[in-house]
Amino acid sequence: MSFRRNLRHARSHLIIVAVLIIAGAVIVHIEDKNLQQETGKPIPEHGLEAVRTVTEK
Amino acid sequence: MAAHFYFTPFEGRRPPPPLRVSRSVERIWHVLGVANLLAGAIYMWWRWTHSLNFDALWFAVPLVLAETCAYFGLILFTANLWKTRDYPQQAPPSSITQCTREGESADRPVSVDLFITTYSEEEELVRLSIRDAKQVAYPHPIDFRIHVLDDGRRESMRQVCEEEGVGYISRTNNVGYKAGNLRNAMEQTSGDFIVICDADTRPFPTILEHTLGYFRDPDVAIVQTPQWFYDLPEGKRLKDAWGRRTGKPGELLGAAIEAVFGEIRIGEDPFVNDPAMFYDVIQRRRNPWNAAFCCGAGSIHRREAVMFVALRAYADAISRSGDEGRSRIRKLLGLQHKPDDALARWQAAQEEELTPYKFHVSEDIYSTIVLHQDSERKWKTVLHPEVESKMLSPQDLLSWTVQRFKYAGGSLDIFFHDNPVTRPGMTLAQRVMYLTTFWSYLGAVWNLIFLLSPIVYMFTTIAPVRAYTGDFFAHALPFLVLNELAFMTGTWGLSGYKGKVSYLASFPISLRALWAVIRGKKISFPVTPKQRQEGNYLGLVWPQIAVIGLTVTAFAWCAFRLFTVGGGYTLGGLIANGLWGLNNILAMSIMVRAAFWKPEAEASH
Repeated sequence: MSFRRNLRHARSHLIIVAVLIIAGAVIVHIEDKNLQQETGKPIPEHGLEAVRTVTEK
Repeated sequence: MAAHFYFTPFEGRRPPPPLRVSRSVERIWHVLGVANLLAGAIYMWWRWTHSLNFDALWFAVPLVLAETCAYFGLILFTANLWKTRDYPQQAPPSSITQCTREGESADRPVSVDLFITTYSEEEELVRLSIRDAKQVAYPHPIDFRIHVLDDGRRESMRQVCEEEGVGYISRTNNVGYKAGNLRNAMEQTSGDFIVICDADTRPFPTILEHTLGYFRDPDVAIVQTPQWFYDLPEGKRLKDAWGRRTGKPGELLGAAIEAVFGEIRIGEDPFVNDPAMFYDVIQRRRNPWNAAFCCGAGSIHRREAVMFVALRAYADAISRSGDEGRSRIRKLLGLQHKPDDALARWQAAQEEELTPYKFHVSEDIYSTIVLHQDSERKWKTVLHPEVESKMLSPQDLLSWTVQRFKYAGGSLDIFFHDNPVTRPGMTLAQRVMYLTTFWSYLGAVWNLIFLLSPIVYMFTTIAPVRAYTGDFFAHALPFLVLNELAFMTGTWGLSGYKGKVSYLASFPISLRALWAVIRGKKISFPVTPKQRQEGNYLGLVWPQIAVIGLTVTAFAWCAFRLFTVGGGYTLGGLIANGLWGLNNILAMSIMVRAAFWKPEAEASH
């Protein structure tokens, strides 16, 4: 079976990977921007910790 | 003139060859598989220790438990897929002495009985199977006999057998269904090997030549060949399907999409029946651990091994029945030499039935388990990678559901009542393989939680994690991405998407089976219909429709609240849960579409 044919069988995995990476990057960007607006200061490089729960108003 | 069936136009189809084994792809799979498990372990550690939303533990804990169970299933599945090592194929034996231990048998040609089990299937359909069986060839002299095992006791079926010159075996009752039917036939035949065929199983001429060689190893008990459905709808190319609906623009758009993503077919294998993933990957990769199990049709059994299973089960049943039973065993073994011994043995045997195949909905896997549990005899089972017969797939959702319910119910019944994972006898690897099978059916429980989670967030703003920040994605993304890449290489050559979504979408069947087993309800085993059943199948997919409806409504509600009053939602949360919900909808829609599916000939009327 050719590589091309095998790759066609694998496309669902590759599409999901692409969606995950793009969506992840977009969501992190949006959420960081929101945090920046709420706290009034830039998010530090290592600022991965959540500063609030999503249930907080 | 030969009868015309819906599958007649597909008679010329040929099965695909087994997946080519590539050591380099296997090495990549090993690297990615291990990396995936490590990333998963890090993610799970972080989920338990840093991510739980303590404001909503009622939601956060079930989800993290579900994820943990799924992660455990991932470890099992990785072990199952680890490597492909086929049993070496040997030349077909010319004498039975080549298949037994020294001195166990006299020098004579091998004898084989081919059983075609039937109950209510159309006689002309069975005739096709008989005719194909008559074409089976062998390079040495062989005593080969074909028998139709008719539990329907039909005169017309007997007539077909006479016309075709094959044996006809029936009985006065239907005790034990297929297993009972096989037992009855075994009592009336004596072949060294038995080929099991369903009414629609059409063996290829090579089936014996390619498989009997495995039995040169006197410990090989069962050889299972892959089941192949030659009647699966091929569907239409996307560009053709869209072109027919919307004309040139649709055709061009379809062609453009196919140019990017490769050939896409609409309506192909609507019930996700293609068993290649199961036989060519899951079962075949159990060969290195001697853990492939029998699936009935298309399998070849050593009679001695089948009788071994029967005697083991028989002795177990009697020994469980106490002193009286032990006395019976003594009688059966001939330890008491009284004049009435024969009668006593006969009476004991009547009370504890000797059943070569256990009267159970999953008699095939059950028999294999008994063989694998015998640590003294060390029976082996083999998954032969090449397709050696063709058969028909379920043609409607009801038949499909009946079949899946039987698989799930049977496996779960064994798991809860006679679990080989905890009982003595098997090797660790065999236990892991069986646990993988059982765990996959339990998966419906955590799949339900995965289906409901995005709905809960989008309706309530309650998230199972503290926030959808970089921290969450830094742990989740590597795991999710590696998971896709690992299984892409682990199943290289096959498309895993349909199997994955079918697993997710069939959650109501597994849950129903689980509920039935927990309540101690017997899983009945009606014959899976071989012909398309008429009717409306929406009732079978209401849970999937409910999931779709709830997810769409929840998404609309969430988006409305977010863009109007805010309501505590975040855009990141909406996107993350929206995509999760979309994945669930796509999975559910496969089953819902299957409920509406009709063969092309019917659809065009």
